[in-house]
Amino acid sequence: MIRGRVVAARDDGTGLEPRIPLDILGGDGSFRSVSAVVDTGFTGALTLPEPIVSDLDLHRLDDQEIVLADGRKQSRPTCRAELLWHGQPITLRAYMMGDQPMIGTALLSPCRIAIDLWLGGAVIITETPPPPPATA
Amino acid sequence: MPIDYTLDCPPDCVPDDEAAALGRQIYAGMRAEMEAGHRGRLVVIDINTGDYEIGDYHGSPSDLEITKRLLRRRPDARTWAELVGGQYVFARIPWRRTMESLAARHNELAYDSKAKAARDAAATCPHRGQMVQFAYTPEETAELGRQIYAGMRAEMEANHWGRLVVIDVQSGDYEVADYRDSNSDIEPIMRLRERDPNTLVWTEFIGVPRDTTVRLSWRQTMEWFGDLVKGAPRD
Repeated sequence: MIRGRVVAARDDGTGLEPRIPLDILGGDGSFRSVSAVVDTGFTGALTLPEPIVSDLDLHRLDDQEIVLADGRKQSRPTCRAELLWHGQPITLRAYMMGDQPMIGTALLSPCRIAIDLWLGGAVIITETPPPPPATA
Repeated sequence: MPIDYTLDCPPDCVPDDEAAALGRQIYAGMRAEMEAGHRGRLVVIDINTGDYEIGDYHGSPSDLEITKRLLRRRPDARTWAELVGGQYVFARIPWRRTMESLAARHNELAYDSKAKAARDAAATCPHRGQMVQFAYTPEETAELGRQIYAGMRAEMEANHWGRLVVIDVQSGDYEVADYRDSNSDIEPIMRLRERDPNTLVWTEFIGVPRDTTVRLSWRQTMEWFGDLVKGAPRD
């Protein structure tokens, strides 16, 4: 189980967003905790801002094409990130962009997410296997 | 390797290798300072004067925008680009480009504002035809990767159907691995990089097409690429 909090995205207390702490392994062998926004509209696993990638000294992988929400395509550099997910170390491709870490459905699945959507509300991500496919 | 060196250069151009050596030498002298404050950013150096411009790296148009700024200040510049941080190979391969050819390349991009900026740069540059040097763009890497894979496709499909192959587009070296998910090519890339730290890679799925392209949310799109979506020119 992973626990986070709902925080305000803007200084005036509006723009609620669910955030969770994410422990990422740096090039020096120690884990660094970053705060990541949970964004279920993003089908990838993780985005990391370039300053964090540099600070953690993560290995660059390649350039990957991404599709923007309006269907346009862009190419972005990616890096290799090792992180703790439900207490287990996993390795995945992180897209280098933006000004804050975000996680998407490729990392979340399979799970159940519970969000108390008010300021300071709880965010709980529970590993949940999908039900067996319905038989005809 | 099919690197295109056929673009026209003015007769007084510094030969490619000499320009590259000069660029590397100048960058070596500034590396410590650059890495202290600009890791992950792109620096374009005028090899005649040592003057330089730094900008953010955000995909293939970055080189044009930064070079354009340098050329405005140093119209006689001969340029060399490095991505600060050393791990990444974006600017390690000499690539001859004229401003016209840059405009032609950017005309092919999806965004009209970029193409217009490139056309404007070509039209107003007082040294049209000036040689500039560039690395492979992601698009060029993809093209090279596809070409190399086309030559090995029959053998790969006969022996490795359903797996994936990661190709170093500079050397032709490759690694084959099982496909589990969109992260299955990470370890093969790392193995190639152990053999050559400057490797530039392309992944092909053998026999079975797989779409591993991710989609951004509207929030990510508007916050990070909003100016593209709104159609405003970026400069």
